[in-house]
Amino acid sequence: MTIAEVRPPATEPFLLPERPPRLGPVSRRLLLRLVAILLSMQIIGAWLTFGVATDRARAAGLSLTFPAGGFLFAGLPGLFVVTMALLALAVIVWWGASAHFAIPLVWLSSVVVAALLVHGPKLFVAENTTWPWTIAAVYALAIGCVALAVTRVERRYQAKLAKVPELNDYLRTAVAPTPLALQRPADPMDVELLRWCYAIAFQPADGLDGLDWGEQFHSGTQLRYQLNALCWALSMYAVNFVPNAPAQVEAALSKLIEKHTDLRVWGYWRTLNLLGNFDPNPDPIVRDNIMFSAFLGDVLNIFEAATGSTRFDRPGSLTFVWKDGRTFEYDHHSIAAAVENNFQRSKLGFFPCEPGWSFTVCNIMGAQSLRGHDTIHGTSAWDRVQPRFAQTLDNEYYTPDGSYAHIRSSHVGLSWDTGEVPGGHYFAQGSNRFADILPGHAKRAAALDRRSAAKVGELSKLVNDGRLELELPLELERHRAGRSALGKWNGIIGGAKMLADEKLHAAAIDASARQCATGERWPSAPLKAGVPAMGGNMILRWSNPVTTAQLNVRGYRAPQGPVLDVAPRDHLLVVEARSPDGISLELRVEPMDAPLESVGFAFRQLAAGATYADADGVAHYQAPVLGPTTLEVRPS
Amino acid sequence: MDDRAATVNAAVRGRRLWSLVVTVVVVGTLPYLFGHRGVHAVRSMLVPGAGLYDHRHAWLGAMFTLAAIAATVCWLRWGMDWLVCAVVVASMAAAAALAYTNGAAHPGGQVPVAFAAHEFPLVVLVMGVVSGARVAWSRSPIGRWQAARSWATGTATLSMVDRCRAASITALAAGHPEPVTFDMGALTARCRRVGIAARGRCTGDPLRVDHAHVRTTLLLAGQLNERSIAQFRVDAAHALTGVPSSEPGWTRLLDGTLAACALHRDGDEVVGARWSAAMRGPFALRHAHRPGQLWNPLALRGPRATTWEHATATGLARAVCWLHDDADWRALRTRVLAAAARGNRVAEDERLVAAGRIWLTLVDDEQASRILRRVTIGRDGIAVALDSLATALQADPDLLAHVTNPHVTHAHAHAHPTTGNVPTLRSTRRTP
Repeated sequence: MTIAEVRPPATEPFLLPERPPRLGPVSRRLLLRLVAILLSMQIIGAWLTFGVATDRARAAGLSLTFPAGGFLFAGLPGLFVVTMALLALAVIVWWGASAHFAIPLVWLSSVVVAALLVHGPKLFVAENTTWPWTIAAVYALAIGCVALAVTRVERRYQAKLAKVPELNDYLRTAVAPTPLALQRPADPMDVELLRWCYAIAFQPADGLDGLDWGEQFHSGTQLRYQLNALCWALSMYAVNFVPNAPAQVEAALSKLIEKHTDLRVWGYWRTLNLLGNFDPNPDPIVRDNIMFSAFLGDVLNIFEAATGSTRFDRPGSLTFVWKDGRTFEYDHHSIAAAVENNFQRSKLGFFPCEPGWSFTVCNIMGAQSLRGHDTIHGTSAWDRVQPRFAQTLDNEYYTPDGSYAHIRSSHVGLSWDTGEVPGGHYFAQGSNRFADILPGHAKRAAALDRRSAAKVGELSKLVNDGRLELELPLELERHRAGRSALGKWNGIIGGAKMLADEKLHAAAIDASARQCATGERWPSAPLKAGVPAMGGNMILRWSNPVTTAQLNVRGYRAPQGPVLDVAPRDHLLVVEARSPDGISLELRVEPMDAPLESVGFAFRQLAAGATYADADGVAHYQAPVLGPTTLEVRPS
Repeated sequence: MDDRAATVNAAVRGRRLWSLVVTVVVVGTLPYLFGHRGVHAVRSMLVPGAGLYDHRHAWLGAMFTLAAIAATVCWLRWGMDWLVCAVVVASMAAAAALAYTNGAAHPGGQVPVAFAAHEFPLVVLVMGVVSGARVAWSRSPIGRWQAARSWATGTATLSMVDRCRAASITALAAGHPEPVTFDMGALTARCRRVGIAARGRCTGDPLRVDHAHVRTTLLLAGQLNERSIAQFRVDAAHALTGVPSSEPGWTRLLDGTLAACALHRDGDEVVGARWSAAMRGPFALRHAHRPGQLWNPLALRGPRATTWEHATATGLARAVCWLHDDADWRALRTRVLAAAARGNRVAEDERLVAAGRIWLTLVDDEQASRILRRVTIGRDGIAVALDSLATALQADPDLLAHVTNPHVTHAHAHAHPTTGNVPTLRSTRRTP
C-alpha cells in the first residue's frame, strides 16, 4: 500500500505541521468512494428526471437526487415527512447500532415507493397530480445539503489551521513541569472507596450489584467500562498503597476481571456484529469490538504488572459462554494476539469498536494493551503495529490544531461529533494519554492540554490551609440518569496533576469528597455519582506516585521488604502496607465491618534470622483490630 | 445390553406392537363393517372430531377436538387416560351416527379411506405443538423476562409435586431421614383427588398405589410405616419399569429415579437393576434426549424430559452406577453451560446448573466446573436441594450407593416376571 506523504511517523512530532492535508490517504479513498456512489446516483437521477422524463421516472429520479424527493414531485408531502423521520431514525441506528444498511435502505426504498405511488391515491389532490415545480426544489435541497456540509467542514478546518502558528509558538517555549510524585496516605474516603470496591469484587461470582445498570451499546452504563475502571483503580491501589500486602487486592482484582466473562457484560456484541457485519458469531474478542478486547487486554496488563499474578495467562482462564452453550476460550496472550490480528488486517490502520466505527480512544487502548503485554511477556507485538498505528493517527485522524478526531467510519471515511467528547476531538486519550506508546505525541499533547487547563490553575489561589472551600454545580452524568459534581471535580484533580500543582491536587481531592460523600456503603455508593465518575475519581486518587502509563512501561516489580502474607480477607481491610527501607513494614488495617478481637497475621520476606522473624524470614502475630489500626513490623 | 434390559425392551415392544395391531385392525375393519359411517368413525379416531368436519355438524367436530385436547392435558398431568378414550369413542360414535348414509351423497364426493395409523393419536401431536409453543414462548426474551419477574424465592411457590421432589433430593443429600415440613394434609388431598379423577379410587389409603413422588418423599423422610414401605416395594416390583407410577399410568423419569434411589437406600437390592434396565430401554437416550415420562399400559414415550430433569435423573443414576457411561453428560453439557451463561434468573436454568454440578462430581471437566461455579444457587427450592446434593456428593462420592436398611427381605421383588437374580449394583461408580 502506498501512503501519500503527510508527515513521517516521527516519534517526536513536537511542533504542528503548517499545512496538514484535510484527509489522510485511506480516509480520502473511502470518501472518494462515497462521493463516486453519490455522484452515480445523481447522474442516474438526472437521467431519469430529464432524460426518461415520465412521471414515474421523475419520481424515482428525484428520490435518487435527494431522499424522498420523488414524494414531493408525486404530490405526497406526507410521505416526504415520514421518510425524513425514517432517515433520522436510520442515522440514529447507523451510529447507535452499526446498522450501516439503514440509510441506503430508507433512501432506496423512497426511490421504489415514489415510483410506485406517483399515480396512486392521494389526499386532497387527484390521483394523477404531479408537482413539476418541486424538481427545482429537490435539486436546491440536495445542493444546499452538500454545500452546508462542505462549508462546515472547511470552516472548521480553516479555523484550526489558523491556530497553528500561535500553537507552534507556544510549543517552542512550553516547559513541562516536573510531574507530581506524591505518596498520599489513604484518607477516610480512600478507605470507603476501597471497601466499596472489595464489596463489589467479593460478592457472588454472578453478582453485579453496585454497578450502574442500563443499555450496553453507547450510554454511560456499559458494565464493561465500569469493571475496567474498577480494575485500573484497584491495580493502582495495589501498587501505590499496598505493595507489601498484595494477596487481598489480587483476589479482588481476579474476581473483577472474571466478571468480564459474565454474559451481561459482553452479550451486546452479538447484536452489533449481526447488524453491522452480518456476522452471527457472538465471540467478543475475535473480530472488531476493540472497546472490549483491548480494554480487557489493558486491564490484564495492569493487573499483572501490579500484582505479579499470572492466573490469566493460563489457556482458557477467561472463557466466554454464549447463551446457547458455545464457549470461547481466551487468556492474556490470546487476547493480545486477537488485538494484533485486528490491527494487522485493518485497512484504515485502526480497527472498529462497533462494526464500521473506529474510535481513536479505543485504538489507543489497543496499542496500550499490546505495549503492556510486550513489557510483561517480552513479546514484540507493539513494535510490529506501532509504525502503522502512528501513520494512521497522524495521517487519518489528525486535525490541524494537534487534536485527533474521536471517531471515523471505516466504511465511508467520515468523522463527526458524537457528543461523547467536547467538539469530537482531543489531544490525547486512553488511560495513559500516549505516555507509554508514543512518548513524543504524549509530550506535545500534554503541552497542549496544559494550555487548555491553565484556567484550572487559577483555583489554586482559593486554597487556604489545604482546603478548597468550593462546591461545584451538579451536571448530568453521561448516562443521563443522575446529576453529580464528581465529573467536574475529576477534571480539576486531573488538571491540577497535569499542572503539577500539588496544593490544588490535594485540596481538590479533599473538597470533592466533602461535596460528594454519601456516608453509605455497598450496595449504595460512597460518592454521589455514577460508577464511571467514581472509577475516574479512584484512578486519579490512587495513581500516585506510579501511574498506569509507568506501570505499563516498567511491568511487575516484586515488593521489597516484609510482605503481609495471610490475613482474614473477608473481615480485615488492608489500607496501607509499605516498606520504606526494605526491612520494616508499615501497616494500616481496619475491620471490614465489625471490630475484630483477634486477628492472625502472617508475614514473609522478613530479614531472616533478625529478632522479628524465624530463619526463613517468616513470622506470625496476633493482634486485635477494633478500628483503624496502624502496625509497624521491624526488628526490635 | 444385559438380560434385564432385553426383557424390559421385549415387554415394551410387545405392548407397542399390540397397540399398533389393534389400531390397524380397527382402522382397517370399521369401514368394511360400517361402510361410509365407518370411514367417518376412523377419521374421528385418528383426530377426534375430524369425522364431522365436512358435515353439517362441523362445530360439533371442533368441540370434540377441543375436548380431546383438554382430555389429553388431563391425561398427561393426572393420568386420566379413560377420559381420552371416552372422548375418542364418543367422537367416533357421533361421527358414525351423523354421517351421510350414502358416501356418494357426500357434499365433497367420495372420501378416500386412509389406511394409516400411528402410535399416537393426532391429539398428542396437537399437545406436542402446544407444549412446543409453550417452551418457545418461555425461551423468548419476553417469556424469560416474565418468568424471571414472576419467580419467587424458596419452595413456598413450588407446586406440591415439586416440593416433594425438593424434599426427596434434600433427604438424599442429607444421607438420613429428614422430616418433611410442608402440609401433609394438602399433599394427601391432592393424591386423593388424582386417584378419584384417574381411577375412581374414592376410599382407602390414597397412597396405596402410584404417586411415586409422594411416597418417595415420605420414605426418605422416614414417614412411611412398614406396611406402606412393603406396599411401595410390591408396587415397584410389579411395574414395567421397576418403579411405581407417579400419576396413574405414567412413570416419570425424575420421579422414577428418585423412587429407585429411595428404595435402594432402604435396602431394595433389585430396584437399581430394574430401573437401570428401564433407563437403557424405554427411557433410553435418543438424539441427546430422554423421554420425560412413559405411559405404561402401551409403553408410549411421552414428551422429552426438561433438561434439568434429564440432568438430575441421569446424574443420580450415574452416581449410583445405574448408568455406566457419560453419554448423558456429553449430550447435556452444552445445554448446561448455556444455562450457566444465562444465569439464575429463570428457575429452569438454576436447576439445570445445580444438576450440572451433580454431574461434575462424576466427570472430569475442569472448564465446565469453572463456568458452573460462577452461578449463585439460592432462589429456587429444587435448585437449592440439587446444589446441596452436589456438595454432598463431592464430599462423599458413594453417598447414594449407601444402604441404610440392608437386611430387608425382598420376597415381593421376585414376583415380577422381569426380575431375576441380578447382582446388586453398588459402589461401582465410574465403571468404564
